[in-house]
Amino acid sequence: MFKKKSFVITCIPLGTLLLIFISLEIAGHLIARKPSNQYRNSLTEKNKGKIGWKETSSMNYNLRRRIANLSPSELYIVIDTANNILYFKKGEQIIRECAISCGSGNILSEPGGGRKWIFDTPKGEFFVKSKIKDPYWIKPDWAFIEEGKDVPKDAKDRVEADFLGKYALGFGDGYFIHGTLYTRLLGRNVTHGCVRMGDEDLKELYLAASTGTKIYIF
Amino acid sequence: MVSRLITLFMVFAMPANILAYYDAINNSEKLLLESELTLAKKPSLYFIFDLRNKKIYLKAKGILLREWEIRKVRYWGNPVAIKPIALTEKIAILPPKRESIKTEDSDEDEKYEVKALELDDMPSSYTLSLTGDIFLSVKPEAKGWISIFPAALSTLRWYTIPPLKTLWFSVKKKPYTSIEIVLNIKRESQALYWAFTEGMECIIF
Repeated sequence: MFKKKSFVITCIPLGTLLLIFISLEIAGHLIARKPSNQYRNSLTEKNKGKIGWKETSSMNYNLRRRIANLSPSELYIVIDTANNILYFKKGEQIIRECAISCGSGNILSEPGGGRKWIFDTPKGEFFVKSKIKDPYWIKPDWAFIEEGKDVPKDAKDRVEADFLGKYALGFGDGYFIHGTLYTRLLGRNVTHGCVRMGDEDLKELYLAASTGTKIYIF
Repeated sequence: MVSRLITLFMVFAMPANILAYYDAINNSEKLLLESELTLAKKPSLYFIFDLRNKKIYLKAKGILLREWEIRKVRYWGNPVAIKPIALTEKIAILPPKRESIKTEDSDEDEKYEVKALELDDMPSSYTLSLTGDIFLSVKPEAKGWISIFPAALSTLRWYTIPPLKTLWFSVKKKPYTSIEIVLNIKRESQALYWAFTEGMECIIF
């Protein structure tokens, strides 16, 4: 008798909860169904009696042309930072594909809680701002901090030759596509944000690209 | 007599329906192209989630930079308007963590070991929170017998949580949309996480 009573006492609230849960689920399902039907109808109704099928088709054709006109007609560079691949492209055609090294994504903090750097290769649309032959590297502050050295006061102490390879292409904010001494690391994310390339690929890129060439980095 | 009437009805009614259908497709394509033109004019990259053709496109200035193939897609709740929307947050159980560079006391051997945030460190199952309370869940296709239990759990979650969220959002008088995308392999899903950064805009079509 006691067991039966306790069973009933347990079952009633559980059953009520289950009923509430099922009711809420059904209500959610019903609400979710309503707007999609409304939307489907609105899409078909929107155009009725206003713009004809032919007119919409020609408008779409014009829109497609306007989008196509925005894309570069000359050679452009696409950089895939996830897979460390650089493409030279013209239209849909890939002219050359090469292994590169992009930003490591690591963080460097200045001892004493000062400045902080995140070594990412920037993503977005850029263009070649400068083309340099036999570039030398003017080491920024982070390069000294990373090595645990004091930041020099004399600008001459920052200059390092033969570090960036034979060519460099600047794309703004101190970022460059340049050569590397560490060719075995091509294909890995190891840089401080710049894009490193092998010597032959870099030479080809330097010759093919001109100032203003678009760079798309993702 | 009845069959003749049905045939007659179909002859007259069907073309009207077909025209309305193509009209809707044409109109939604117009909205997509108008939205893409708005994004293509900007100096930034954008995504197009073409759920009808099961493709994801990463584009800039109308140029296709990368393409993903969608294996499966399911949606829930309010339909998404064809217009540019921005990514507000990437939600993952284990988000990737950046390494901090040690400036002092670093071992020589340690220096030559590559410590970086790479594609393999990205999560493969995550949710993209977009403006307008749109939640886009991405995951790779589950393979092998070991995946049966998580797949069943995911299906159960899909049919129980979104209805409750819909109800909650409707009480708050806000729209709610949940989309689940299954990609072919883990690496594809990780690559999408890598490429889609906060603030970037997209169109869901």
